[in-house]
Amino acid sequence: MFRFIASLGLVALAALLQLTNYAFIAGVKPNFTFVAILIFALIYTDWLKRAILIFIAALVLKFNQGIELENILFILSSLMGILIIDKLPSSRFINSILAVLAATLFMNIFHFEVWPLFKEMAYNILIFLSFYGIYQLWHGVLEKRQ
Amino acid sequence: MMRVLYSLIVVAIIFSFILYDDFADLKFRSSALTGDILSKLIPYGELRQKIYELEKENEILRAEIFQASISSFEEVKVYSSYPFNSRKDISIAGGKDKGFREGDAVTLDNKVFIGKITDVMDSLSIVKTIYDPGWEIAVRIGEKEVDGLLKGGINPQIDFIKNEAEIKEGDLVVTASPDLPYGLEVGQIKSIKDTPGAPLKGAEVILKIQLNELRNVSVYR
Repeated sequence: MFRFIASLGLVALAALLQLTNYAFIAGVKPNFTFVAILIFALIYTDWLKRAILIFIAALVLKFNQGIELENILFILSSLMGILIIDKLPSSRFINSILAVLAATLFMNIFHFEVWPLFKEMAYNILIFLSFYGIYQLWHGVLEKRQ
Repeated sequence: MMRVLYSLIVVAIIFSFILYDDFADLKFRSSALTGDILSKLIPYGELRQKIYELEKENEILRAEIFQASISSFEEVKVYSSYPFNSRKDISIAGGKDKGFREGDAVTLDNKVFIGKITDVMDSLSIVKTIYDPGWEIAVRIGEKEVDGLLKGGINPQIDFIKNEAEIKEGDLVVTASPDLPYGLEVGQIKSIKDTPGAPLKGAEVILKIQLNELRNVSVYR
């Protein structure tokens, strides 16, 4: 339970970071929150926990009043990313890379600009690889303890 | 038991979506606080802030040379910017409590144009900025005040400039839209796209103040 609450906090923090002006890299914002959700989807296989993480993130990222298209796209792309990780026949690592690419493309489906999209994809992949590396290190430490 | 607890959390989150307005202010304040903490952690953060202040001062002086406009204004903090790349909105610390209204122009010290308020809440407002790809406004270029239509975005440009109009690189671009104060600085001409034989030409524009550098803005009233 403690681990899940800490995960909720981390997802909310990633979403808050994404709202700041410091998240811009060369005029493009990487999707830290989405990448964090994908990493936690590797840890938690329970769909209820995954749904809570996605909704918390969507709630923090909601910018305007009323229903927001980008917010719905964020929820759908996160679900799509997790489904790709779970369902594709390849290894989970390869599936995760594909999930990041596919979900970034889906997020920008109504606003397609080639160069910013490539930049966002590259940033998301790099952030995913960093988070995945940290996750693997942490996982290794836990296994050693056991 | 745990599943019931999780279900209750999901219901609470969905409910908070409905009551969004009640904690939007808290959320954007937290985001601003996260930004402040980050600025302390980033190497040379203070130096960068000083460079930003100098760039801002430079832009204001340039705008003053073009058109001296002195009016009273109050600076408000920029809380956050839109989290996805499809839009370039910002949220600012002031809403109905400060008398802001939809359509008010948002500027740097009432001289450099940033955008327009699109949504006003109790203590915060949402601003659509000129960096937004969907933005279009009438502008005038240089001392001869040549007309054009500015399209916003990461690489903003001006279209519908008469081919015989005299404009050059470095010319100042100012607002000329009926719903905005006249003469607010938008940017400078970066390059001119002249097609031989065409009745109209275009130009690329540099917006000197970048969206990620915005810390404080003022609302033109």
